[in-house]
Amino acid sequence: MTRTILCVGFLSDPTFQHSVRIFGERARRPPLIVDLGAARRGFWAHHEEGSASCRIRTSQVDLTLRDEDVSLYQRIMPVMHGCRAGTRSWRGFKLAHYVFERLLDAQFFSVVVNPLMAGWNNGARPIHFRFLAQLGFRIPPWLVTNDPAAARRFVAEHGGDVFVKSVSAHRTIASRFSAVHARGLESLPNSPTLFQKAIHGPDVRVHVVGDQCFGVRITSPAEDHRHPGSCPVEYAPTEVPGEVAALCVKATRELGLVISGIDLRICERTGTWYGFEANPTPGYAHYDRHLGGQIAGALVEYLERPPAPPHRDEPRPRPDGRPQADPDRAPLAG
Amino acid sequence: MDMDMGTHMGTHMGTSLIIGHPGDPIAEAVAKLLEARNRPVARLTRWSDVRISFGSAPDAGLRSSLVMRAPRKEIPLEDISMVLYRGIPAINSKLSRRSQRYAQEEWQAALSVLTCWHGCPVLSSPFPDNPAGRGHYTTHAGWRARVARALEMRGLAPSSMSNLVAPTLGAYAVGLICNGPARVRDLEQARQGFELLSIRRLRSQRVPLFWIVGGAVVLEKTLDLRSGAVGDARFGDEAARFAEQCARIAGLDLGTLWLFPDPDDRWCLGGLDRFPPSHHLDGGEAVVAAAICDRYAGGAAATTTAAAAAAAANGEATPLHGGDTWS
Repeated sequence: MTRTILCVGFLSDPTFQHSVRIFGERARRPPLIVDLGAARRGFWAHHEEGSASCRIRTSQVDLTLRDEDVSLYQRIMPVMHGCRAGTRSWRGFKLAHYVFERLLDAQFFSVVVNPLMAGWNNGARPIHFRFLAQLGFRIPPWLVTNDPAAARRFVAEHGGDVFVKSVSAHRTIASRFSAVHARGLESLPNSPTLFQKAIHGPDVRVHVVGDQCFGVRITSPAEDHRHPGSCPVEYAPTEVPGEVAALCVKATRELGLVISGIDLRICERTGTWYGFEANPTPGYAHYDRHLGGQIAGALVEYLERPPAPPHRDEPRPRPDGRPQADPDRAPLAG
Repeated sequence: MDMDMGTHMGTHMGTSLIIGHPGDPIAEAVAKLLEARNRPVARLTRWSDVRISFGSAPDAGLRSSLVMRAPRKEIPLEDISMVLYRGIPAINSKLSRRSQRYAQEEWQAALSVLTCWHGCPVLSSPFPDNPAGRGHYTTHAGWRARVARALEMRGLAPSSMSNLVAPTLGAYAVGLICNGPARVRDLEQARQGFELLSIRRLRSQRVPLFWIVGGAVVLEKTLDLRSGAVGDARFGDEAARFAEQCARIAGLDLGTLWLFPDPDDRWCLGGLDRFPPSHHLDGGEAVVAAAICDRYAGGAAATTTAAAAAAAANGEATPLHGGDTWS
């Protein structure tokens, strides 16, 4: 049976906007769209536990939905372009996001891309690195420390060719260790920081949808191609070796995700593929434009005819990578 | 770091690390009990008192080599046998507010490896299974639905989530916001479309409140949903067993649950709290502390093996990069 795609997000988010456009072009049924950005005057919902229906209302839409008829595509991060923090509109956006997130948390929808808490270990890079390494990804050597002497030793060990990053999911610009960082080490005790050996070569961003992989090679002299400044950036679709693609699909599935964006780099000296991150809320619009809409197209296929409906509370991978026990008989902590 | 280590170290009887504000009743009771039992315990109240380093091996694969340092003592992270969060340590107040918030996130992400790497229990962790600070479900409503599904309690859970239907008058009706009883402000925000409620009629505003340690009930109280007051009571084995079932499903290692009866007198989960306020102890901190120590810190008897004592004496735990890097 073909499901209708329900899209909930912010139309000011380029990825949500891109997806909604592709869904409109390729889905068998017109998608239902709830723009949380337009819900700044309020977001109303009603759902009786045990009932198969749910009602959602904003100033623009009034929808009565049945779980078996819809698949939910959600990007409810409050990406609010052009809206200043602290303004009335911004507060409205935040509240609408909050209300919908609560509805999502009650898990009325059985088919959700992506489930609310999937991919959580992305929030701490050491755990995320460990998770990826245990799956089989190569991870460049790294150190987390707030000890200036330990940081100096690590930098010296790798000939000064080290990147500096955040430990948490806090979005930062990865930057090459420099004299500025060396002078700043004295304030390192305030907060642990991640140092990682630099790998030189082109980036490859792989988007996974279900069991499909879509690779884009990125070439740029910038240290972080996401923030190139005045440096040129070139994007080109690329094939992903079978072994790497299998790892990407496995990582996505283990994280409980349907779609992910995986950051990889190819060492120009050895040809080795290194992994850095599996992003649970990838901003894929720009990459998808270079792929002719293949990513969003794959999402249409998944959402309209999802695989066997997942159990809402399927066991998720343990943070330490050990096999997950039955959540209903989960061993007590410790 | 304010350190008070016993004479024994090693995996057989590791160090308990208590993180948070001084003066917290549970933290103080646990520390006092551990010291009385001659168990190693370390207190962390300010992040600036700690040096932490861990990373990967230069070769293929990952090696966990984690060290937390104090001004006077060094504790290999693999020797920490329990972490108890009772608040978030202070950050350098000279930093800007934005930098302080950033630093707190970085510290919590760094410490999350304790549970994820060494299987060390982290009680009341800011991130029970999520380094970003959120559990499997962010709301009581999510947990209520989860418990109802796990126990096949169709039609029983109170999660009629709505801000389209106002609470009705008559018998005491409680509007539950996703994380607790609704107050007037919450009802007003719901009417405006900015809050979501679960609405339920209750026969009484006083409900059973259970303190949970390691998935087991250790203390029973009543909670007045209107006033928030807590008092003594017992509700019988059935309520306690149901609370324990809910705790197990939620993976609650330390916290509280409150229940209420449905019209057929079956118990339902009202809410759970991983960071219950101290006044919910109502004088029961010694009981909760004893349960924590018994369950997670080696029990009553202080024993050690000769090998573990020798290892500690030889200082076999070494930092990642060797040497004293404290400055």
